[in-house]
Amino acid sequence: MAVGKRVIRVDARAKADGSAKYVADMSMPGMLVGRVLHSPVARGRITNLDIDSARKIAGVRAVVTAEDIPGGNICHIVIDDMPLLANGEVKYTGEPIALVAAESRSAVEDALEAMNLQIEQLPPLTDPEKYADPDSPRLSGKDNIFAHHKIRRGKTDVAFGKADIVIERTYRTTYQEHAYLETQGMLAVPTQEGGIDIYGSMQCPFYVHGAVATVCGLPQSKVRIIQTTTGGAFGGKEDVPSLVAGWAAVLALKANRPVKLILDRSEDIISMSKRHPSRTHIKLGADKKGKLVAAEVDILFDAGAYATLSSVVLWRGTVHACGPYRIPAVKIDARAVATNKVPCGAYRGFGSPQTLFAIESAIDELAYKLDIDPVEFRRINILKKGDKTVTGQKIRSSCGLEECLERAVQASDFINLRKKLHSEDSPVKRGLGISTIFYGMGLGAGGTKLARTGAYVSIQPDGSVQFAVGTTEMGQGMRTVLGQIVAEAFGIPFEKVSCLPVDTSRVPDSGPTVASRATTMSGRALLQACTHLKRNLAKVAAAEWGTKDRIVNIAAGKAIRTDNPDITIPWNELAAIAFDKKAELTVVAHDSSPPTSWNPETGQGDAYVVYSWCANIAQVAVDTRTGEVRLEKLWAAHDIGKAINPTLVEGQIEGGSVQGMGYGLTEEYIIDENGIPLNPKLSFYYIPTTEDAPTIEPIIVESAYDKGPFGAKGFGEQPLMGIAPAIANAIFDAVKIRFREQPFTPEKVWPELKGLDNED
Amino acid sequence: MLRIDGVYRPKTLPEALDVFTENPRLRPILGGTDVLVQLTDSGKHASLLDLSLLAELKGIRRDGQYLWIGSAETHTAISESPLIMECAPLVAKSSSIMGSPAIRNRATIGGNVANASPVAESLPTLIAHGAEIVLISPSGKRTMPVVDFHLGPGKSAIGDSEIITGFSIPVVSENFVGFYERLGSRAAVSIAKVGVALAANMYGNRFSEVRIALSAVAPRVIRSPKTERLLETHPLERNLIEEATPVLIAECTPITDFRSTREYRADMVGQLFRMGMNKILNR
Ligand SMILES: Cc1cc2nc3c(=O)[nH]c(=O)nc-3n(C[C@H](O)[C@H](O)[C@H](O)COP(=O)(O)OP(=O)(O)OC[C@H]3O[C@@H](n4cnc5c(N)ncnc54)[C@H](O)[C@@H]3O)c2cc1C
Repeated sequence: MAVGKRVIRVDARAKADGSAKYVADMSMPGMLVGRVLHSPVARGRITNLDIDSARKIAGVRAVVTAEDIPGGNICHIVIDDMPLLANGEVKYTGEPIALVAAESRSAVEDALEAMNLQIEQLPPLTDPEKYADPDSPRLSGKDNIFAHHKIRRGKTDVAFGKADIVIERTYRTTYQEHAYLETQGMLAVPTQEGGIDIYGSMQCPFYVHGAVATVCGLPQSKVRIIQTTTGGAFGGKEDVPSLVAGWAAVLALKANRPVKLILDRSEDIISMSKRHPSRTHIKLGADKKGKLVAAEVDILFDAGAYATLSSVVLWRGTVHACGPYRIPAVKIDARAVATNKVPCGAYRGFGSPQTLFAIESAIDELAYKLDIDPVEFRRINILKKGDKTVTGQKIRSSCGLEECLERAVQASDFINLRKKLHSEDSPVKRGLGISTIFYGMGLGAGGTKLARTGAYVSIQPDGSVQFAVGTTEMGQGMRTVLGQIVAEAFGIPFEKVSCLPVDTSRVPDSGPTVASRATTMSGRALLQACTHLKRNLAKVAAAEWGTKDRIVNIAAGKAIRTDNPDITIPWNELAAIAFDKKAELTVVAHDSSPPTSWNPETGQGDAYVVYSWCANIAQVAVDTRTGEVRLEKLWAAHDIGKAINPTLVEGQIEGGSVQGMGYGLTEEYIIDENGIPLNPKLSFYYIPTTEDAPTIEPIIVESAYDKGPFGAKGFGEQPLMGIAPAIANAIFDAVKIRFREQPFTPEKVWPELKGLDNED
Repeated sequence: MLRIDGVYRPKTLPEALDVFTENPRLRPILGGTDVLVQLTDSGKHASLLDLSLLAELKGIRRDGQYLWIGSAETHTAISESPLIMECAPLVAKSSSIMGSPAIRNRATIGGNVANASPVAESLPTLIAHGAEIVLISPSGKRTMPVVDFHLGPGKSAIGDSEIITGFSIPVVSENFVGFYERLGSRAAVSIAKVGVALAANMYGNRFSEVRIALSAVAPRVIRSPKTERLLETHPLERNLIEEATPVLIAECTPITDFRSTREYRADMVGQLFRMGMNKILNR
């Protein structure tokens, strides 16, 4: 039995010993180096681009501009507004303008220089809050708004009248850079039949498939996408790989040679997507007993120059903007607006970390205002089974938030620990902060069209099993977990199962590997395929025994007669017989995700198929001399339905929490008022190191999801989402100062601390 | 992109000096942790003079009252050397906290000083210890205090075709007290935002021969003579620390950039100084 076991990740050894092959490790006969010419300014018109000189450089085999794209000059994501290459005008620093492929990297660089790019600069719009200013340029449509989402529930004006305490606060969050270990990269190989194969680092092969076919002007049948070992993604390889693959593909077609195009680190940071900066204004009211009565939330996301995924990112942010609380009257307006900055996109949490930071801070502020302990205040208001979310969705089952909260409180010995920390006499002040959050698993009503998966499962004549799915491994452990699900379905040892690389020609469109959906959704498709195969095996066994299929059970790695369980055929023998009898031992299954609903006018509906839940308790130390904040300890309780592999669940909790800590404390990507990035380098954009990591106590709560494989629901994003507010709340607990703008760097914290007792 | 046109790998110092004299535009390289990053960023063509094979640049040894550290010694070797911990403890400390294990295994003290960054880890501690730098060129050997060698961001007193052979550091006396405190932006792999090094001799509660060196708060690593004199002329007590702190802050000229603010850096010079001084006071 494999489910629930701490199986070692199938990709662990190769990644640890360096033998795993990333796209950078690949090479093909005749392969060229591809590179991109990016805009050095945020807004302007291209006045010079000397293609001829570039073509004349020795070793140059292809130069491509907007005019040379064989298909449509569009990178399809949600709205078709983003070109593959800028056409006449540029809208952000880093925007791609032209492509070169050559025999060597230095020939490419010489060609890029030879193009002598000149741009007549125009004043950029860099402050998202000025999107509606009459003086601001119009970058998108009439109003610079890419998306506007609403939630209307009850009458907030009436409800606020009944509140005893109302607070109004504004919270801000800034960019977050994915900082995946492996930068974006693709290898495009023209095929003999005039098609193209793409190998590369990506989350969503089917997005890349559609995008490459479009820019190449090829039928989708002539395009094949193979995911190579992917060195981290975190949402950063959801949509942008479509651009990178598109570049490599048009170069390869033009040169009729394989082209490998890998971004440098700074180039990647400057030109690839980030987490949207945000401004969230919250009005929140409660009665004296601590019951929330109403909330009004106004959200603004800085989307950057093109729409990309902003509408759906914002949608998730909107649905999560009131946290996991029962609030009878709610009004939310959320807008994503255009600026002359890098287009923002997906990043672990997908719009929810921004709004959760706001609501989780506001909840804490209101609790203190009411003089109710923040844990107690949450006990009063959190969603429990039978409650309705602010979108009117009834939580019917799989609701483990209360258990998460209580177990985190218990594990940390919250009350006593807090007393002890407060009694310490030291220039380093300590405190505890809490956050309770939730995560709508899967694409939900924001992405119903994509909500499908496929799976290929093939029983080999020797009894081993191969499977393939259309969702991807990016370090989260999916290949291992899905292998456990397949092994469990047949009741065979995990070692008998192996997962094939993702190849769009093998598996039907499985939607994107995002929204923490792979385990649940590919798991469902795999189980369907396994059920089908088990039926086929039952037929084989029945024929052997001369009985009806009905009385054969395939379980525990054998065929068993239900009327006499002593009669069995062991797995390997069964596979061999089935092969001899020419039984169908390879199947492709299709799964469509369970239904959701949404009314865009009222924002009411069953937004997601199921929710995961989480409570974090953070212990921080604030050095009142230096303003340095350290996250020392974290208790993180997550209801994930079922831990298919507890070690990998703990790994996700640890990694995500540290990433969330970076978001809260050190990560600050700065684009100045001219739209120029100031620190596009990992030496000045501070992601946490292992030395910064706190002691983390992961707590697994399993409140089964009846439609998930063995009760599992997804949660890969959740560990990041509630850390920044838990830290902010803990800082408040320690020094009674509220920080409403992440990251809480010493430069921000220290000025507020001045005046406190600074003595040793 | 890295565009290296060629690499010379001389095996002896005289050979290196010959090659360097013939090709004065060669870029010396030891660990490469600064050179390779800078060349990648600039995309400029360069030819390198790899000094890592020269035995003359290696070695950690004591010659009487002086400690010798060869320029090609890595930060790992320096931070793990019992001799350095005993004879120039602050130099061992700065090497132990720079970069990460991987960087420390390659990066050298010579490269750190030659790179002449106002945030270089080894500069404040070498200066606090009163170290001298030893340089050699075809026209001969010369020696100067490290504090005079560093002139500004990326600027040093190094001459044409000149090679740093190492550092000569007066061995600390049994009355030595000192500290090196620094702030970064995270726990490791973080360039200093502010650094304060102090080395002195202490007799009872009196300081003598105080040397304070500050990094990241001026275009170059600086001494703070006013504070040094104040400490030398007053007994160490809590009051002195409080009195000296504003004097020290007034001696530096930090700037605001995207990494930090002038106000924060200035205040932190004081905080780090206080922390270090309190350790001496409470020792
Ligand atoms: C990830 C990372 C983290 C880092 N963290 C820190 C840190 O925390 N603190 C810090 O101070 N630095 C840090 N650095 C910078 C760097 O590692 C140090 O400055 C290091 O000591 C340089 O030594 P090197 O041997 O690598 O020098 P190299 O790169 O080989 O050379 C540096 C410079 O010195 C010149 N040079 C080298 N040897 C000689 C010689 N014998 N004579 C004359 N000139 C010579 C070179 O031409 C070059 O200009 C970091 C670098 C990286 C990449």
